[in-house]
Amino acid sequence: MIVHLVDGTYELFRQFYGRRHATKGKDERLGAVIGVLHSVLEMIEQGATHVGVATDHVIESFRNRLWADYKTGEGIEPALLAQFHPLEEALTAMGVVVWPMIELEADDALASAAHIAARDERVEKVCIWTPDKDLAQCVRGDRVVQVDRKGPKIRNAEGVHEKFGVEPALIPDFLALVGDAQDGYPGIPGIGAVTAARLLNQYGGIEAFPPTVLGDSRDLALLFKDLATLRTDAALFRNVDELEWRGPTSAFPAYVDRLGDARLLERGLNAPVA
Amino acid sequence: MTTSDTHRAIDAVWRIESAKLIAGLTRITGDVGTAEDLAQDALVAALERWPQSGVPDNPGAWLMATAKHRAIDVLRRGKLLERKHAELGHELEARQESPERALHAALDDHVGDDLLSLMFTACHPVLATEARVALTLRLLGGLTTDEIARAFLVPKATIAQRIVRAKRTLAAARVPFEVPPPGAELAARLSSVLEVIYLVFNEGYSATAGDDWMRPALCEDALRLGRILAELIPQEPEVHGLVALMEIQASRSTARVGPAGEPILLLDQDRGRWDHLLIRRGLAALERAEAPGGGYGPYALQAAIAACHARARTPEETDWTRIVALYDELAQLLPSPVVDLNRAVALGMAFGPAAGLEVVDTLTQEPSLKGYHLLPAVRGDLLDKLGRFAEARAEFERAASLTRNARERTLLLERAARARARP
Repeated sequence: MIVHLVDGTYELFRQFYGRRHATKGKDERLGAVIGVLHSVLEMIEQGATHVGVATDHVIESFRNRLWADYKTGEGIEPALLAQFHPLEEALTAMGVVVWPMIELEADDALASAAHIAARDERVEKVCIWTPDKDLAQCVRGDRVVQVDRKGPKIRNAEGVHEKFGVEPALIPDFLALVGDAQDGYPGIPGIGAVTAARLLNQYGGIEAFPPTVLGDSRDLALLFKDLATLRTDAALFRNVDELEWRGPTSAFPAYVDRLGDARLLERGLNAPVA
Repeated sequence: MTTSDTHRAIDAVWRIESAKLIAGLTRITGDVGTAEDLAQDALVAALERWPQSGVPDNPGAWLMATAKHRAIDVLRRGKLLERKHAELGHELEARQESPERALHAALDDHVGDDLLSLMFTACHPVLATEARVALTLRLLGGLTTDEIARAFLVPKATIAQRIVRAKRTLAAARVPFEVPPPGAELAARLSSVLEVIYLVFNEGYSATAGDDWMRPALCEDALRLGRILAELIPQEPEVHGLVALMEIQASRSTARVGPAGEPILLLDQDRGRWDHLLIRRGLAALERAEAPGGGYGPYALQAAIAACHARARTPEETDWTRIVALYDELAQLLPSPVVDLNRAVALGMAFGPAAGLEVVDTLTQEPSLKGYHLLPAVRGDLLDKLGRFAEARAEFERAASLTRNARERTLLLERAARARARP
């Protein structure tokens, strides 16, 4: 079986901004939610059987306590923010497993879910649907891959190496050194992507660097590595069977009514159940 | 100092001082044409004397003093002086001063106000946009007719005529030499001034026609005018917005042209070659561009978009989602298919080419974008990323046939050829 793990937060952003042109800038109250539901149903129509969606509520996690400038939910448009909870409810009503994260981020949920799923021998492949470079650390050979709709690209371990110059396991070290402007930590001054990859390929992880390489910046680099390391120990599910889609729940018709998109109900009821 | 050194020095002084000179003289004479003639006379005097006497310590003051004498002569010769006397009458009585001294004093006062009045006059709505641009460059930028003609690739006679007609129009319409009173009129007139400055900048930044991709001198002129304007009316957020936009865009000037003069697009540029001083100035201006009640105007929004690029050390770090959101705000303030097209590009970068293409496809029916080469160029790029190479090639070729810029055409044809080489 193939397990699909979807970054729900990214999908919601994608649908929110993607629909604005068609709606002439007037945001429909739950337009992005409807968009995400259609996009998940499309995956199912195309053969996906096991699906899990991760979201994060306020996008403020334990990482904000570690580093003051770490990204926060600040600046998210209210019309978008207001759709996070409805998305989680709607997906649940549609029978899709959702992991709404509070203390951890959606990325941690995807990493944990990939970790649990990959342990199961019946799983041939885990596809993580997100463009976020943090998730590159979860890629394993051809078995756990990252699907980046932005590229659009599917990256296996070789693809990760090609993009970043290091193997997936060294991605947290790589990000710690070069920084991640979107996540809000600057990296180590003077170290760019090329130098970071060279050092990591020469010594292995940051812990193995000779003391002279980073000097006083070593502790900071290790803090950033902690920020960049995704948690894989969230107990999201026990068995991949729990991720199997078995059709919409009985709450779905009422929910679709609330969303005001009749096509969604028809599509949900007709989607193939494995 | 050789004669040619002196001429270079005079040229530099003229660029810096001519606007103040013309502005002060316009206030006295009430006519930009006369004011410009007087300023030119002072320049001719400098060209005659300075090669022998050397450049004076304060060349600007010398030019101003010479121009003042000539202004008084002119006023004396005509009946203007009498009118002026009458205007200054009660003030003079009170101060027991000679009319000449009063004129001198009047010329020294309010240099800032004069410059600002001159900007508003040169950009007055009675003039056509191209006349505003020519007049602004001539009166405020210190450019010669010949320089303006070369910058816009039009015959010198055309520009000369444009300027003469503009001056006549201003005189005939009795456009007052003043800064409009605060309120709706100021806002409307200011937007005309900003538009002219940005037009000049853009013509320098992306030459619409000809063999060069950029004409940096025009960008510098626009930046100079923008910075002066920001000093003169610091309370107007959009002025800072425009300055921020120009500073940040100008920071990429050297990086966006390759060794053979070929254009290098934003995401392919060596960010190490961006001018970080200009970026810092731009970001500082952007901070001042927020309106009192919060929020940005159209220029500040565009500057905020440029700032997203400026802050990213690598193209991958660009916060495309924020850019999409800023375009959304811009589309609300200034709905335009061009803004929609730019937004589609950002959307494609944030959420993948399919998302961008969906929007671009809706724009292909837009009449105002019919001859706009960037529409097929963007569509080609998105199709290329989606692996639809044959369609991409056709779009790049179409874009190449629509652009008037030779460098850009080459770039588009290269992309078409690359798309052709793929299956």
